[in-house]
Amino acid sequence: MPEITVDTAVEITDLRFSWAPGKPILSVEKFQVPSSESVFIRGPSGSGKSTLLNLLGGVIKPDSGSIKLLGQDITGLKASQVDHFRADHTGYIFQQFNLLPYLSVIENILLPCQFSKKRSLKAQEMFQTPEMGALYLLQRMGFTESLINAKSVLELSTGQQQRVAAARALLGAPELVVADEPTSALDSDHRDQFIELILEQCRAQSSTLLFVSHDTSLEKHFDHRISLKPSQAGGYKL
Amino acid sequence: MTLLNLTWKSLLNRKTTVALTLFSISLSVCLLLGVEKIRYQVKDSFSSTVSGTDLIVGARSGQINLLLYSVFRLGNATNNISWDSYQKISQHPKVKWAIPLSLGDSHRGFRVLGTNTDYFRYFKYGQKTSLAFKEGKPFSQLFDVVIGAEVARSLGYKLGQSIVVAHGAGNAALVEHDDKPFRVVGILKPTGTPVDRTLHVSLEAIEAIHIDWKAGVRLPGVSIGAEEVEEMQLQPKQITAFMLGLNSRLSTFHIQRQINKYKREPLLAILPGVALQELWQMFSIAEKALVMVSVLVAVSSLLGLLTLMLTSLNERRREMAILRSVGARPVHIFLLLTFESVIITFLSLLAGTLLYYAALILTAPYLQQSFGILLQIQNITEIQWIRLGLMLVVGSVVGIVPGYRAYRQSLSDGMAIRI
Repeated sequence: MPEITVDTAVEITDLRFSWAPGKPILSVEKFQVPSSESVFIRGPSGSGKSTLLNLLGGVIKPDSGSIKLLGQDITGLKASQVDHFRADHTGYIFQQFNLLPYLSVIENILLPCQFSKKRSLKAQEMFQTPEMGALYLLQRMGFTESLINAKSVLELSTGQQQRVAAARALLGAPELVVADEPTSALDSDHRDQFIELILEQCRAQSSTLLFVSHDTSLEKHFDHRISLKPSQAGGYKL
Repeated sequence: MTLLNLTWKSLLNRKTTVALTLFSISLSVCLLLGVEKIRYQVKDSFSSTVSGTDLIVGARSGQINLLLYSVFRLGNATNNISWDSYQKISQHPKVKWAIPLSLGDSHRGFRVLGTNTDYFRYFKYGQKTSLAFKEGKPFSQLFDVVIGAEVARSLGYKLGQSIVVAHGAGNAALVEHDDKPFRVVGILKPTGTPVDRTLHVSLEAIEAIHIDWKAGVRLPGVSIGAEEVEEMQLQPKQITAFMLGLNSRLSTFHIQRQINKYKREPLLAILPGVALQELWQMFSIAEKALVMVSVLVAVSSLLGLLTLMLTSLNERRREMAILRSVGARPVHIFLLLTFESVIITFLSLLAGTLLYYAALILTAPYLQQSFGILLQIQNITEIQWIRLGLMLVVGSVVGIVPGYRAYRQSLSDGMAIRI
């Protein structure tokens, strides 16, 4: 499969989504993110953030409009194709409790490479083995050896857990990294530090970062900023 | 790290509940195997109680009744048969051997059988095995007794021991033939048949201890001592039943018909195999009930597994969502749960089989002692393999239900983690 090289990582056009007819939840006229750049998407709770992320993940389909990721319109793909596409090209970081408690730090980070051959191969290209990649990323995230060898990921602090989750989202250099309120459980000192770490890695491996949060104090870090606003037609629009 | 590995680690993370479920399925596996074992062994020891005997002859009653008292030493004969009839039939040219049986007395709960030394020569059990002596020899003197293995074991009798026989059957303090004690001259090897629980004396001895008795009571004022009786004519007048071996099995039905039509007294000749089969049929309903119960226990333990997995689904929503977010497809989630039930069922089968063997080793001596059922430690039989296989199939199928639900759930939940 040839490497996808497009300048636009995300392109949403004329999108409409509603759970029930006549009750629009989200509409997006035009939303574009250039490759390798970072976007801060601001939205209060209930503004359709999760809906937007689910649409971008292909978990739900829009009523109309198109969502192009890396030049591929995912609205036309079958569920299993979307699953493959997402596993190969997107890394996710969520709010909290991102890790499987029964796996070690390294095992957690390696999970995406278990499910995506593409990401596994990319990690091998960059670091010889995915394990080496995981160790490299952990080191970049400021992990000491004793922390890496922690018996359980539950021994780690929330901030440390979020950094493991970030390393996991980044391993295998997916073209897209989606972060959904990843800093909400961190105190303010750690927030900026954490965001800088992610941004630095995204830049280093040319990943496009979509960062969703309600906290406007964070938006200064990003290349682009955009808000989800109430729409006259009902619901929210981007 | 494969999906199977992931399933395994996830299971280990839920040790307690998983272990409990595993234990309950193991118990039911153990029960399934055990019930089959007991069924098989009871039937086996049942049908091996007598072999090589072509006909059993007794007073006319039912064939099961005759079989019960002559072979299993259970219950009592409705009537005796005359010595004369026995003599006539045993001298028939087609008859190879005849073993007379005289029952009615007991010793501390064990039946006393009056017979002759042909018993040790011709009586066979199991795969046409003859009786063998562990110690001593057949009776030769009037007051000699040969005891079965179980009698010797449970009463602790040794060669040379002096014992007293009681009149009638049962364990209660009956009137004893205490004026004529017997001496143990032989102890038989274990057979796993009612022979183990029997004391064998000569027909003459049975006659001798009853010589001063009439109609079940000691004649008042008449007392004939042990020495005196040895001088007397002790030809028995009647016996309870007798076993026949024929020169050719082909003549079995012919002889049977002749005996059943015997003019001088009403006799009944039965084929032991047929009677055993009929008797076993009576047990088959109990046998079926036993199998049924063990199947129900197995079903309920697998329902327990289903319950465990379904209730855990909700708690594991986060786990599924995380897996989805790192690229697991719904089919992976489905497999994760199906593997889980396969692993639990498989481990339960292993544990249950071990448990079964442990139980077998521990209870076998007790069962042999109390019920005379010999449980041999054997490999898993075909029927047991089939049961284990069915259990594995059903257990794995059980995983499909939560697997499918998790599949549906992960489709609708997507990657959104709900706390």
